[in-house]
Amino acid sequence: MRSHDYQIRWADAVRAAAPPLAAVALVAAILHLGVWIGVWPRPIPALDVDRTVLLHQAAASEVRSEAELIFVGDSSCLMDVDPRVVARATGRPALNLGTLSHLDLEGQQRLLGRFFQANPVRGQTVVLLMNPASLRLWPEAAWPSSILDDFYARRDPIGHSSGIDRWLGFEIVRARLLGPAWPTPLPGAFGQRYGFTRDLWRAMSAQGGHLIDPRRLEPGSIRGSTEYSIAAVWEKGGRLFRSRLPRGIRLAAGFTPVPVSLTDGDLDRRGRDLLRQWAEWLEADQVLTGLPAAWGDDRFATPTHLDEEGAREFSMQLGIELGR
Amino acid sequence: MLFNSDVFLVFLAGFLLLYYAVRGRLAWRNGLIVAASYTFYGWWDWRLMSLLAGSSLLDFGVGRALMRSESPGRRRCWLGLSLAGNLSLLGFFKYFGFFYDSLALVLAQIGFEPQARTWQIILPVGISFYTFQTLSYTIDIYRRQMGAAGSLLDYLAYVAFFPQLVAGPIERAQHLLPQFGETRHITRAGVAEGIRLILGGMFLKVVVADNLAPLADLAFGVADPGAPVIVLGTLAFGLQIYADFAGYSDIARGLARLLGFELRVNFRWPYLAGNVREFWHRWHISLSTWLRDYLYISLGGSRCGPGRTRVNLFLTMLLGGLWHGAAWHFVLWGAWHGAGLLIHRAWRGNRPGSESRLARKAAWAGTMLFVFYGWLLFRAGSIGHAVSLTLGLADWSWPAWGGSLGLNLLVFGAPVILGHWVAGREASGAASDDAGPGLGAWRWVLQGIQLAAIGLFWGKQGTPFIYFQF
Repeated sequence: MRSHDYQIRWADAVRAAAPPLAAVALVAAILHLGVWIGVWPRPIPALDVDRTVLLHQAAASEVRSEAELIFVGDSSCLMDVDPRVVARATGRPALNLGTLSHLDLEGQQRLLGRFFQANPVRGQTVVLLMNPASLRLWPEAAWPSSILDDFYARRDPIGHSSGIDRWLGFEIVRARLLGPAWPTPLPGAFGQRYGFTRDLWRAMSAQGGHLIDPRRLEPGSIRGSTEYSIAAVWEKGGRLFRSRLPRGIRLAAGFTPVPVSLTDGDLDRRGRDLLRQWAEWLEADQVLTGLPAAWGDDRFATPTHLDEEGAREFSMQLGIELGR
Repeated sequence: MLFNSDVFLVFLAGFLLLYYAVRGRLAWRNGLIVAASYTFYGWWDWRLMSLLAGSSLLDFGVGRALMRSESPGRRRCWLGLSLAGNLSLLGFFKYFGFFYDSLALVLAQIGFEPQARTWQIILPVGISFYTFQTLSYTIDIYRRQMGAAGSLLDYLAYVAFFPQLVAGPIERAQHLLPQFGETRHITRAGVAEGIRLILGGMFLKVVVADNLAPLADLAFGVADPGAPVIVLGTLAFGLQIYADFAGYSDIARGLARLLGFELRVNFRWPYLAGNVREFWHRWHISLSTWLRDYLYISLGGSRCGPGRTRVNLFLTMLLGGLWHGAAWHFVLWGAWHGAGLLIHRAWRGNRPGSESRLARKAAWAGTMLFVFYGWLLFRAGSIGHAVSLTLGLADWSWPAWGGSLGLNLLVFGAPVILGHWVAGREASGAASDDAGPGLGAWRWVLQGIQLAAIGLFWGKQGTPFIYFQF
């Protein structure tokens, strides 16, 4: 007995598969044609927390703003500084352009460059805030910078996707149709607080670019080095950052606090030394040495981010310090 | 290996090339199916192949022995060996930890402090499915409803047949086993049907289920969610589990069709059911009929008076709940459905005759409320969480992201709702899921959309099917 026999010809198989494949090819052609003639919206692939934050700040940097205090920096700047509180304390409108991802100083510079293209220079102050732990190394992730580049160039982020995704136009759908308009659910604690990408975007806009870290630090769970140092590469990066700021812009530099259990008891002095060194490289006009170096662990959401209450208090102190 | 992963696509392409090339002796074909199926299964963990082989060899041997033996006592012994072997396997790998922890909890309540469990037993994927499949083989032979398999290779292929190995449909030997001993015909209609089923199943899994899953995760993960989120999350889960499992069943049936085999229908538009009994005639049919034929009837079925019938029915559903997972909330879910069946039985007994259209609509709405509350119990993760969610139904606070949740549910749930609606209009919903609505030339457009949407949401690794954990 034969195992199987065929009552089908190759032509039948091709005839069965051809129509759906042709339909997919047609849709792909329409998608690419739409990009070519410019009918699709601008690509904003805000599909997860990191990209939503980065793209929100990139979009915010292109908008006309009354802000006189512009905060940039690492994720601790994003999470610890509520510009509404700072504005109340200083009487100067403020905007937070901090990002969650490991965007290097060149990336921060690009955000500011866009901001000052959209807004005339009128004596604003750029406040660069970092967690001292971030200075041990130079951030090396390339993807945040390429997302920024693609956004500003109004390009589809096709450079990171597979050939099939590119040819069939899936990236066009994700970046131009789903990303900006579609609420994508967020996982974990961010999902529980903000729900979806679109709601996260709205929350950031309502909070002047600030984001509250929704996580909770378990007591006694903090692990990490208590040694703080500054990598030599920050010197070149710092000087370049300063040189690219428009004339007439003041630069302030400061550190965000670390949990007390990640200090060896001498962080006040050591932190001030580090900050002065860094501020010197940055040629900062104001060094925010009056900010607290360490705070109780119970005020932190993660080892580098303050919780909601902590962020409010820190923002208040930051406002007072900036007013000096 | 997951159906919805890149590696499976490569595996399938290679397998189909070989399969179509080895046309010749049955043994070659079945040997190839066995080799491919064990590779497919061993991809998770090669050690698990020994369990599959062991279970298969045990029941093949018991089947042969049952055929040779005429003595009722000896036949009972052989059947007992098969039951003990398979249920021990299932009991150890799936339920040992659960019963250990439950016993430890009881002992702790009465003052003993047993040693806490520091070890974990891995749950071999698909074990609940293939042990039920091999058990049905020996029980059918014992009942003299079929003869033993003539060829070990055929039998190994029947148990391990990769399209349905890890999540069913749970095939009866009487239906699938003979197909391995026959010439299979690969026809134009069969291939077209297979492709349609695979596309439809992949769409349900990759586009519908995988996009509804995060909504359910969000709703069931948030602290104090409030009624709107609980309701939307439960709806999302009910639609997700259908799309996930019916999608798997469709892919399994489609793959079998490409090879010239026929698998059983597993779903018949379950959310059209007008009562709980009908729901179980439409949902996971291969399991519900297995429980009916091998558990309910073995317990006495309806042969021992109304009181005993009710006990048998309830017990069957309770164990059906436990089959889904080693946790008390699954038992509670089984009890919920058992109670529902008993209430329906009593209700039906008091109300003979046809019902008005309005009464049918009300019955459908009541059934859906019942079924979806059951999904809340199923998804909650623990009885404590199920209770807190139930209490949370009194709080009607609406979160800022409630609109986004509703929008996602509407869009990604729409294919399931639309499919049920169309099927309900055609043939009063009697057709199986795979019959699909009569779309004529629009079928090509639909398949093009399905293919594009699958590509858009395809993840290289694939996300596991819900029923793999059972």
